[in-house]
Amino acid sequence: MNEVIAFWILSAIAVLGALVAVRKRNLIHGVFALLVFFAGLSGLFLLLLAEFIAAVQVLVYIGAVGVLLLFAIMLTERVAGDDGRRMTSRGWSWGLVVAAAVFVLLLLSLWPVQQLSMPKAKDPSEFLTQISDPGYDGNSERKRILNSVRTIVNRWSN
Amino acid sequence: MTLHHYLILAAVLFCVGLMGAFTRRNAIVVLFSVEIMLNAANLNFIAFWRYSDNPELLHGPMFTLFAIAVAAAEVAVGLALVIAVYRHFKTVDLESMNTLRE
Amino acid sequence: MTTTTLALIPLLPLLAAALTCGLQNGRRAAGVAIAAMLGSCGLALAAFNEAWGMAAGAHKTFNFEWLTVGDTAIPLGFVLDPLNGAMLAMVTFIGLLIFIYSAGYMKDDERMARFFCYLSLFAAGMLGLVLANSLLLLFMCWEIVGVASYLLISFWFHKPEAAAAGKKAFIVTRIGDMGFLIGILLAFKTTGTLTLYDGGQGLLETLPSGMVWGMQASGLISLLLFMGAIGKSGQLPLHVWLPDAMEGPTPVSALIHAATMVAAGVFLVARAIPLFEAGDTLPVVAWVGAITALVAAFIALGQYDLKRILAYSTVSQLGLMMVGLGVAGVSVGMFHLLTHAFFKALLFLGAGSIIHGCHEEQDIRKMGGLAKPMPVTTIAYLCGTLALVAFPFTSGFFSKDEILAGAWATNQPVFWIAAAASLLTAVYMTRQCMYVFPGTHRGAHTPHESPRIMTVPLVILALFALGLGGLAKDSVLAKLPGEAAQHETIVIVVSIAVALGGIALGWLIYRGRALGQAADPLAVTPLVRKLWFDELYAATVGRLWSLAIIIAEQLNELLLRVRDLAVLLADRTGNAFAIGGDRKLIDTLAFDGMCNRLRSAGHAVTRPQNGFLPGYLRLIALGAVALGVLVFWIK
Repeated sequence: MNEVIAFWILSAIAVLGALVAVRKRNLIHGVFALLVFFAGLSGLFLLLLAEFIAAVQVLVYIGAVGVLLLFAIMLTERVAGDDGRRMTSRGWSWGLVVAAAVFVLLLLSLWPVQQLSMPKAKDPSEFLTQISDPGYDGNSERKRILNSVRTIVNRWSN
Repeated sequence: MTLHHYLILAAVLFCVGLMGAFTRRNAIVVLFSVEIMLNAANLNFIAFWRYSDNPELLHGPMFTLFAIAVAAAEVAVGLALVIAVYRHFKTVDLESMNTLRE
Repeated sequence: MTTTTLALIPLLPLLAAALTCGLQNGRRAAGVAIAAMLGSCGLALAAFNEAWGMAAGAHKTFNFEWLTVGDTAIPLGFVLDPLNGAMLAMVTFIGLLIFIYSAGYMKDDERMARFFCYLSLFAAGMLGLVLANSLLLLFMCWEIVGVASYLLISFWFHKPEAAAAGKKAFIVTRIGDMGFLIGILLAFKTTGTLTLYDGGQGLLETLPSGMVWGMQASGLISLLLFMGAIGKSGQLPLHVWLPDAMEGPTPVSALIHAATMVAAGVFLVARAIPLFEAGDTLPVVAWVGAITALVAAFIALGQYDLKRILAYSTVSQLGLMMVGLGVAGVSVGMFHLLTHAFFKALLFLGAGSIIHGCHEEQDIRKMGGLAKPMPVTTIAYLCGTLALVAFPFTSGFFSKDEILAGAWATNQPVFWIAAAASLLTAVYMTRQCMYVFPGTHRGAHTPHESPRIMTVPLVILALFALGLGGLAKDSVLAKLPGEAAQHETIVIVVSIAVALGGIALGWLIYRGRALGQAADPLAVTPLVRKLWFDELYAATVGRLWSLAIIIAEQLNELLLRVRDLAVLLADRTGNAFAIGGDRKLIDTLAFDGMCNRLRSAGHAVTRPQNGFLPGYLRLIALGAVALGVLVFWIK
């Protein structure tokens, strides 16, 4: 249950962050929204037990790319952003249509995936309990990391 | 949580990025959008990995790690290009970069 | 000799061409080119030595596979026999001398490096042509030589005449090359191979048999190959390019348009002579050669340009070589080719030296009195002249004598034509020398002798021009196929008589005349206008083209009329039915509407190509969607 709540919250953060990042007139605000999106995604990685990727996500994206983007904005546009000019490009509605078409295509392509029933045992929560079971024959280092991750997840979920 | 939750979330994020790339005039925002799309793809990798039969093989993180490394390089190059373009055209507006038309 | 060493002969100049094309420094380029030519010359002399040791008619082949397409392998290869051994030695040796001479001649030209690049390219093509054991390889090299010739003729392309001459040479020889190419294709069709000698399987060993288009196959193929030779060797009626080619730098005229490239046509006939014998087409060769010899010698009488006279002389001599091939076989024709190469290269280089000494003046009316200021050039030039007019015991005498003897034995009309051409040769050469050397100088500048680097090749060539014929005669005639005819007394008498008689005639006509001021008795209008060959082509081929244009214009006019009529009819009808309706219907809907629709369709097509980057991005995504639909849905 905790993962379900965590998933919805994190995905809401990610989607909202992405939306704000691409729609914000002020580029600086946009970058911060993008950082929020990166953080949300990092949380989702943790939820999927990819703790190393989550750490890399924080280091590379939030740490490096964000700063790089800020510098680029500083070196090019006025910090306030598009200063009242049209924000969107010519024929932007066509862009929306194409994006929607891609979305429909992606959903359609999920259709055959649904037919493959995922083994219930592979649900991350059960997987987590399974491999953190004392009888589980894994190496102790990995178990330790996973336990700490579970603690973090549980704390976030609560 | 099923695999589909993650896949649909990734699709939504990808299309948000796509929308940004398609509708904004500012080259830097287009770069943001590309980053969002890349991250959505990474999310797919990780989700598929976690729901696969043998996650201990670490295929998904491998791919993702590669993607992150390449994306970081891409951002660096892309921003360098944007700055070069800015020096040349005095703008990062994509609509005014149409010299290839002539 | 192995395949590699033989291949090195053309490859060394090719390498030099590749190296020099990037150089700026003319002297360095000259050094590279001359060094490559020197190496090539050494190898060629070794090859010549080996070839000369073979029995007459023997040959060695060095075939290799070039590429394989499916089951068909296309072999290329080299051949070595006395015929091309002698040719190799001649081409590389004269080439080397001319390269050295060019280093002096072109030293003030800012594109000297480029000049040596072209020269090396030419040498590579020429040597490949000589060595080729496959019609395909021969044709490729033939075309390389053609391109190099084009580049070199129009080397001073800022002169409109030079640019036009280059184009003319390229296009006119192209007409002959078309025949050559058709001949090659036909040969491949009938025999299935293009290799000349291939251990009994080659084209020249299993001669094409059967009938093609109602003619004997080998006869037709040989005539088509001869068409290529006509273009390259400046035979009538495709000789018009060669005199114009004198717009190029003089070493080019000497190397390409006197000694080597124009001899390629003769060489081709000599190489493929089994085909001509099998097809019984050698009389055609002899007749074309004889008529060319006479007509060109005739035109040369009326020319004033120093190099143009030599050019017509070259055409005439090439005609004589063809006569030699036609009446007496390879040995006689090739013997004249070899001797001619030396004395004509000498004459051209001498002419270059004269032109250089007279400050780029080419008109013989503005020369005169050059014997004193330019002694070395004069003596060398006179040696070349004597050889050309076949003065007894110079090299030209021996070779021309063989041709005349052969003609007397097989084809007497051709003999008399060739004798007349020889007479005219002596007359025009005497005329030229009378204009250039004795008397007082008529030009504006004081003439001066050329530098050592230019006169030394002249002296070497002069020795060859005098001595080569007597020394080489017996071995050339023995080593090359074809038998020399018995020397009848009348042949020798006529041969000597035309040479001496021509010189005497020229002397009598021009002795004591006020040259350059008074009218020239021989430069009558038809000869000055080159027998109206160019005008003839303009009047036939050119007019045909104009006619086609006129017809097209008339057709266009007719269509416009029809359109006007249609519009008028539509207008009348529209008026009759409903005033104003016609405008709406005919104009707006039919004409303008159609135009507008076409225009908007055009705009719709061009709209995506507008340089609008987000638009491109969207189209890419749309394409991806289409692809996805194709993959996920339709499948």
